[in-house]
Amino acid sequence: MTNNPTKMSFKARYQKFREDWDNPTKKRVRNKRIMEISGGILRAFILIGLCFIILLPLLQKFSFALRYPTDITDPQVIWIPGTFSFENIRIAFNYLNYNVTFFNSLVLSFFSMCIQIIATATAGYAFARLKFPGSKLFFFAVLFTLVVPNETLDLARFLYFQSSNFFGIDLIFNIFSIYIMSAFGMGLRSAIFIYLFVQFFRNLPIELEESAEIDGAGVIRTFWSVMLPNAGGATVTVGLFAFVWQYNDYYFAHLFRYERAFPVLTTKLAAGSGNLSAVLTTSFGDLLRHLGEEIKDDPLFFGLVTNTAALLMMLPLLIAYFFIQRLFVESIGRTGITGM
Amino acid sequence: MKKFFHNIVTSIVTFFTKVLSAIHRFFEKIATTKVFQAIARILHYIPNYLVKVIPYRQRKKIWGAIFVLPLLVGMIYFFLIPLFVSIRYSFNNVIIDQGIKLEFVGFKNYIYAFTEAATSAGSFTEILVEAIIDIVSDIPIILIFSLLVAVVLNSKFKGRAFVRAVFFMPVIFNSQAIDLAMTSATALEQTIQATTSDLFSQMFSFEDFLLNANIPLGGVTFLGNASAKIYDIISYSGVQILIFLSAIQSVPKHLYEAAKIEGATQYEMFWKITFPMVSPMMLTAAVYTIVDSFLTSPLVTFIAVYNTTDKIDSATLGRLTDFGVNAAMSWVFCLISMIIVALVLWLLSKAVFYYDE
Repeated sequence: MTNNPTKMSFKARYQKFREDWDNPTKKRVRNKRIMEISGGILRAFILIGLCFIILLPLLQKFSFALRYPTDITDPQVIWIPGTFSFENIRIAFNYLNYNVTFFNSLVLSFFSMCIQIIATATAGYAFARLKFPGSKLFFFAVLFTLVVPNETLDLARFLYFQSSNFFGIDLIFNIFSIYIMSAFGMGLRSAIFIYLFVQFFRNLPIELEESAEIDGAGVIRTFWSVMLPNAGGATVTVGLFAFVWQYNDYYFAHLFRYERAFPVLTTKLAAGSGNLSAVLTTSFGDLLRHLGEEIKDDPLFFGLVTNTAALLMMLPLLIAYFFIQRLFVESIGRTGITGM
Repeated sequence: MKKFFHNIVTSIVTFFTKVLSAIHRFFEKIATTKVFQAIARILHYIPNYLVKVIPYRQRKKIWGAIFVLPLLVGMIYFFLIPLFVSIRYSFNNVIIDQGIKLEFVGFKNYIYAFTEAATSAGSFTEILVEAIIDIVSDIPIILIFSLLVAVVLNSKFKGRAFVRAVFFMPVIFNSQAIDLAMTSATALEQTIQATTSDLFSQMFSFEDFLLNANIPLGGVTFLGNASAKIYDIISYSGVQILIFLSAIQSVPKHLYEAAKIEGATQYEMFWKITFPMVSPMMLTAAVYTIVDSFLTSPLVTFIAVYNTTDKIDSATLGRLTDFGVNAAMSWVFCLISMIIVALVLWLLSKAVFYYDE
């Protein structure tokens, strides 16, 4: 009966506790468990905090998007809208000209992604396996293009492209300019993609190529039928980043003056407040009469609409991200950038 | 009248068909002659002959050159020429008047940039120094932060998939357009901050807490700035976390097993195994960090003010135009960024440990 701990007297239990407390083996186990639990709690605190910081602007944008325009001046409304309404979303939808620009953005990102993959994969393969005299120097030059910020070349590029043309093609105001630049390996951060492909092809076993050579394959056949199908990991990574960065890109769309001929989401979003008042007067007459004309110049209202517009721009990527999130997280690991 | 036109048209058509068929017959005759067939055979023979004569190694080199040819053309036209054009602009007064006219002014653009150029945000020198300090101080913070986060995300805990997904979300959302739109919407943010900065945040001041803990003033301001910028730091370290995470996962497992048997703690394992094994990736992550932080530095927006390609207003600048000043500023910025990259690479390459099996 005395073995049953629930029926033990208080003194016996205390005695047992003292023994356990002084037992060195149990002491070590106990210390380890305490460390583990406290480490877990600390980690949970840090991670929850950091996740909150990341998600805060997104949640705030949702909160802004769903409130009625008059709620911004109401000091009592911080998070939960006083009056739920889709008015902001409707205005932002018109402000971005969403049904046109979203489609344009998708088309632009998709085709430039395909072109980037082809152009950077060939260049990367050449640098990794088809060493020619001066290839090392040229590869350094490609990496050097990363170090020079695109913005510093902005003006020179604009004036130079305007006064000359590329083999008979005018680049400014031309909706194919981004594709042309991507095809010639100078697209949006192409140097990073070339670097990824070089690292990947270097890590592929050399036996693959040698056996293809013995079977009588030429260089192009080896590249197309042997190396490229094996480069799935790098291709997925490059494709993902090329698509996302092109979708979010403002620099090239601005450099080639895409605003009028081929409006994309980023150029519309950065267009400024003049655009908003035009949209309001043309298609939101009722709302203007209700809120008063002066809301057109209200910076707070403009902020509300841009927040909603930014949310509208992010939303398709956000939804897609939750489906391909695993692909994204594992992407860089699969490119073999880390060697080993 | 109608018949007349009809006759003319039919006669023209028949004439052309006759001429075309004659040309066609002529070429057919040539194609069947022995000389032409010999030429065709030679043309067909050349590639096969080349394959036979040139060894595989040599052919590889030639194909390598052909593969990078478009890249070479692109680099010359889209990168090198604008680069040299901008150097030339920086030493000239650029006037746009039915074409671009250049007037050599020596270092006047640079002198103007350093002495007079100013917007409401401050003078060029002030902003330049600020940007350099920002970039240099961000590098260690982002590297250390992303390495720590990668270590944490690599350990097993509940909800890891969700946390990972959240941490890489900023990689998707980093957009210059959104940043631009948000800067024009700062009024809203300020009012929201005014309403949300409640009693609690006034009660608990992070910097006061650190000062009370006897941390030197310099450290306090550094930590204070870092904590104020925490959102920027997180949102610009997504790719670096990915790089470190994959580096940690590729560390050979037997090293950890041996360390565990020897009785090493997690802390020791981090410093003795994880850190040295991951250190080569520091270089990649550092270069990426620097390149990325250029894009977000306030200097870019400052320089962009002088890039007024739609309006030309040289009266405010004395005899100089915006374009030359812009090019000069861009060049100062570019040179400094290159120096920073070279310095960081040189410093880090000394600390890196390379593991050989």
